[in-house]
Order: sequence, then structure tokens, then C-alpha cells
Amino acid sequence: MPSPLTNRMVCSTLERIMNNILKSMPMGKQPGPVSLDDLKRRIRKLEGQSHHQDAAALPFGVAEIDAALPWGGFPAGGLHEMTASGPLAAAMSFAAALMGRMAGTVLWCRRGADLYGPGLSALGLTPERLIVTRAERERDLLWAMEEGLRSGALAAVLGEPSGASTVVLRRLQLAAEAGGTAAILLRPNGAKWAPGPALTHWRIGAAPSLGRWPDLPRWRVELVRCRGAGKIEKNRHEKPAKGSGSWLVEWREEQQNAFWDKPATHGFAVAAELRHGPVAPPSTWRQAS
Amino acid sequence: MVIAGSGGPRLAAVNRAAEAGGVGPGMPLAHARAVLPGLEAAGADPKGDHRALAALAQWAGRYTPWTATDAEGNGIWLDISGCAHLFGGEAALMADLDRRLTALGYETRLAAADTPGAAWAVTHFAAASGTPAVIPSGAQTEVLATLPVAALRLQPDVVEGLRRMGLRRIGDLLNVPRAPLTVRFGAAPLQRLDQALGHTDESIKPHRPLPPMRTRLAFAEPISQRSDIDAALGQLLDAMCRQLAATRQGARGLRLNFYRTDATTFEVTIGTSRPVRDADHLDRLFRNKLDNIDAGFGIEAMILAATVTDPLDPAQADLQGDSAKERTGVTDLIDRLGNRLGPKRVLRLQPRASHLPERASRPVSALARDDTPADPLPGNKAPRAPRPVRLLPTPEPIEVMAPVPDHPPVMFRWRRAQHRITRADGPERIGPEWWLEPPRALAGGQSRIRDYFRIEDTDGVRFWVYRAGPYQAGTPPKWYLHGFFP
Repeated sequence: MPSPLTNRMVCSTLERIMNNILKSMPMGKQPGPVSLDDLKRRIRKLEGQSHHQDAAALPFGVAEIDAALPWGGFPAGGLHEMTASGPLAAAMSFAAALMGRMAGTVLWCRRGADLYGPGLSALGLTPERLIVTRAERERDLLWAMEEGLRSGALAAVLGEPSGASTVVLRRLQLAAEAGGTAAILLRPNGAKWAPGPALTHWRIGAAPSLGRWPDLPRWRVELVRCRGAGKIEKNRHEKPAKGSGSWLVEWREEQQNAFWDKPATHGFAVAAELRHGPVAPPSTWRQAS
Repeated sequence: MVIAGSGGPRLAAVNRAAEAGGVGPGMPLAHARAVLPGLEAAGADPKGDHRALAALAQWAGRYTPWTATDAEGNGIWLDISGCAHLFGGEAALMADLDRRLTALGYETRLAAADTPGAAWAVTHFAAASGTPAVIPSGAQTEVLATLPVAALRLQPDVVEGLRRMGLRRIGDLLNVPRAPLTVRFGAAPLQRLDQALGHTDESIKPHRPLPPMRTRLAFAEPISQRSDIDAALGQLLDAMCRQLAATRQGARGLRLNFYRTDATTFEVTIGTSRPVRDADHLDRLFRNKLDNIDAGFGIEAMILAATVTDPLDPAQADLQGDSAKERTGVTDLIDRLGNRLGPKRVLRLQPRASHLPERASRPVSALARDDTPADPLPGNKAPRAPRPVRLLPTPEPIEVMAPVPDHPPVMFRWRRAQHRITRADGPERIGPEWWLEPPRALAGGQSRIRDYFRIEDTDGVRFWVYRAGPYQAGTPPKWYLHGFFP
């Protein structure tokens, strides 16, 4: 992968070259001014990094997470990895809630038979939008994922393979780019996979509820790695996206109490931002004596 | 061939040489050995014979789809009305069939007639081996008149009774008054007579349901290359799609039969979720399945049959608009996935009106016709208790420590891991659906009433557990884990 410095250097060199060309061109029959963004995009495509800014991004609806991602949201047309750092149901439900926000049909490829429709509908993934494949063999599962990604008719494809090599991950990434579909790979706790060309890497765990009853879903969401963070700037004046972060995310539901037929609005909300390391005590606290 | 019978093994069938030597079917084996010392005997295999006959009937499908086996008579029926012209006439078809069967090593007697009864009679009692007999239309009365009464497929005692009455030939039966015959022998003789002469209809039951549409391609030389098979498939699909367009229909299930030179057949089937008339789409679906076929010594004919068709208007075939394009994209993808993985492995989770959690959602094949009935109570969308994201197919028993009588657990043990509960919600009582008669037993033979609790342990993992049955003092309650919440 070319280093970020190369990219920057190429861009600045290109600017200078373009300016020189424009200055040195004779007047009269001139082609229209070539935009710098166009050239940047062409170079990125040639280098195989075309996903960076052209992909449409689905915003989380939560300012903190959207700010941490360089695309301003969850990008389509790329591979994403989600590892479960807790129970598998937590990672599955987070992915389901995320896909519930997308518009379009979603394909879920898994080996087991325990997906439950009513639970997924509550998170926004209604049954008419979901297709589940129950492949027996690993290569059938990967084939189904690739078919779904390449078809371009789906909003997202979620797969739970039991292992994937770098080659397989690269294939899925190419298929996702070709079809403009988001590919999400779900890994159970403790699975070790080869590092791959994923755009983002998340770690999802369960978070205890607040209060006396088990309440609405709550997750510990950690964005471990993000490709292109800190390097590509949308605008020179904005700060580049951080590309990592850890949040306590919960699922908010607002029911319209009086009228049952109005749909409930629901979405993500960040309850807290989690940090590693010591927290500096505010000065108003009393020191324990 | 020897088959066991009363009084010891008997001969079931003999070949020509043995027949010339003086032994015949029905003779006891010991007697036959005495007559012909060099006789070789092998055990008869009636089931194997039936299977071979069925395979031959399937192979005979290259001529007509309407084939059936006649097990007692050791024969195959073929209904060739309407397809004889494809082979250059009935005589040419019969000659071709005779040639192929002889090449396979069978000794055959063929006859073609207006009615199945007449054909059966001629093959069993009149035809010489090697020359197929074609009885002209309407001429069966003259031909049958000279044949013995047994040619009417009657029981042996009826035949014997008729013989005693002096009615030996079918011609004798034609002029006899019918009522006394019926009184004496029942309806069978006259019914068979009428069927053989064509006065009443008799149809043979084909061994496979007839497909609504069929296209056929036979090759001058057997092919085995994949490219040739693909090209032939393309031609067949084009012809089929033209037929479908002419009748304004779309295919939902297609079957491609291959006929090999050694008289074996195999088939490849595809299905789609909506009626299709697009040759390219069907070709793509077939391509995935043609990778593993074995052409053997060569394929000499391919027949494409549309087994399921549905009406398809031209307006539906040309869809406009993005959402319509996306819908066709999704259904095409479902077709491809379903045809490769199997229709039962590409599913939609269809909701059902049931409050039993395992029945509330049913995985339905995405390729099936969308017959979901409309929601019976569209206004009834009251919020229900939350449901888990993962539901175990069979609930797993757990060991639970819970205060009695109806409190949620404080600690439970599942798969050797201990979980301490910090938060709980419940109980939610789910009882059996008493309006379903007879009452269905739940999986695992558990008690009918379940008290569900949503519990959360110290790590924030949420479970859905239930106690089978209400609390009863003295019996330890049984607890099960049914699902996981996010």
C-alpha cells in the first residue's frame, strides 16, 4: 500500500504540474480546465484506492461516530470487519441495527439457523428486506457473499465465515467495490484472522443496562482501525477524522403513544465516550481522606 | 432364471436355446435339469427387472414424454400420437426404436395401434420378433378377431371359463349378447373388449407428469464437449422462450434431460422465484449446474421441458424505473443463489400470527411463490414484549437458582459457565394455543405453559430463559434457555 506521504507528494506535485501546464498552454484552442479533484480521483482509481471519498456513506446519526469516520458515516462499496468482543448476539444486533438504517435489501449469510425475525424487526431490519442463506459448506457461503456483492442490487451483505484468508478478504473487497455494496464480516469472540484490506474494523461488545431492568440494547462499540483516516481531508480547513474511538452506544426508541399506526422512530445514540487510561478527577471532587 | 415357488425353485424365464431344448417357464428346476443336463440357472431379480424397465421407459422419453411401464407384461407403453411426424412417420419411429433396443441387447416385439389394448394384444400374441407391426387406424377389429381371448388381458380363470363356453377367439366375443356374459364373468371381459376396439377410452398413466412445454434437440453425432452442450442449450432456450412468448407465459421450473448413447439419462433442473422468459437469465442459471455433468460416451439428444409455468404479461417483462430494476436485480440474485445452494437454503423469515415464539417466524424459501396472505388485522400493531435476536432451535436446559415462587433467577449455569444475574424482567407467561385442535405437544415433551424472563448478567449479556410450567411446591422446576437479546 503506498504510504500517506506518497499520496500527499503526488497531489502537491500534480498541482504544480497542472499549474505549469495551464500557464504554458497557448491561448485559443484550450481544452476546458481540468479540475484537480478529477485528476486526484483518476490517480486514486489507478492505484486501487478508489473507495476513499467517492463512496456514499450512511451516517450513523450520531455526531461522535460520524466525526471519527473520514467518510462522515458508514461507507458503502467496501469491506468492513466486526469482531464480537462479547456475546455474538451483541455484534449481530449491532450489525442488524446498522443495516436496518440502510435502504434496500440485505443478504445475511450464515451457517446456523437461529436468526429470529421478530427480534431483527425491532431493530429496523424487517422481514421483507432480509434474505438469509444457510450454506452448509464454507465455500458456498463465500460464493453467496460474492454473488450478492457483485450483483449491485443489495444494500449490504453480512457474512459469518468461520475463517478467511487474506486472498478471500481481498476478493470480497473487490466484489464490494464492483457492486457498490457494503460487505460486513462478523467474527465471533476469539477468532483470529489474517489482516485484510478492510475499510473499517470494529469491535462490538455487550454493555450493561442502566437502571433496574434489562432495557433497550446497549453496545460497547470500538472503532479499531480505519483506512484513510487522518490522511484524506475533505476540506483543508477541517480536521482529519480520527479513525478510532470507543463509545457506549445505545438504541433509542420513541413510540408515538397516541397513535399506534405511526411508526416508531429509532436510532443510535451515544451514551458515553469510553477512554482507555486514567481519568483526571475534576477539581470539585473531594479527596478521600 | 429361477424363482422360488411352491414345490421348490421354478423357472421364471428361459432363453431361446433352453426353449429349443424343451424346457419352459413354470417348470420345476429339478425337472428342467433332468431334461437338459447342461442348464445354467441364475436367481431371478424381479425388482432389478422393474428398475431396468423403468429406466428404459425413461430413456424412451426421447420419443415422447408419455411413457409408462407395464410390469406384468414386461413391456413399455408409448403414446406417440402427435410426435410420430418428428421421426418421419410411425413406421420410421418404430424402426428406429427397434434398432436401438436391439443394439442394447433386448429382444423386442413392437406394435402400434389406435388403442393400448390392441397394441398389447398384437405384441403378445401376434407380432414376430424383429418386425414392428403397425396396425392402420380403424383396422383393429379385423386384426384382433383372429387372436385368442387371452390377448384381452383377462384373468386366467376368466379365460378358462370362456374357453369352456366355446369362445376361443376375440372374434367369437363380438357377436355374443353382452348381458349374459356380464352376469357370468363380470364386467371385465367386455370392458377389455371395448377398450381394445376403441369403443371406450383407455389412457395409460405416464410415469412422470407431462410438462406443459417441451423443446427437443437431437444430434447427428453424439456430443460430449462442454461448448457444444452450451450451444445446444442456447438453441433450446431460444425455442422455449419463443413458445412461452407465443402463449404469454413465463417459466418457473425447467428440466433439461440428457440422453446418452448407452441408453442412460440424467437431468438438471432449475427453478426461479418469478415467471421468466429471458433466455439469458435462464442460461446463467443452467450454467452453474452444468459443471459436473458426465457425458459418458456421448449425448445424443437433449430435451428441455418447462415443468412449471405461470402467466406473464408483456407489460411485466419490460419493467421501468429504478425500484423495479432493483426488484428484478434482487429476484435474479435469489434465483442464482437458490439454484446453486438449493431452494431450501435461501430463505426469508416470514412472520406468522402466533404468540408461541418458535412459531412466530417461519423460514420460507425465497424461491417460493409469494402467497403470503394479507395481514388479517392491519390495525392491531400494539407494541409487544421485546423478542430476542437469536432464538435457539431447541431450548437448552440450564440449572437455575431462583427464589420461589415466581421470581427471576439470581444465578444460572449454562454450558459449564456460571452467570450471575443483575437485572431481570418478567415473567411473561406464554401458554399453548388452545384453539388449535388437537393440541400440539411442544418440542421436547415439556409442559405447555412457559414463564419467560429476560435476564442480564454481570457482563451485560442478556438471555431469554423460561421455566416450564407454573411453580409447584415439591417438584424442582425445569428451566430452559431459549434465546439471546442484544
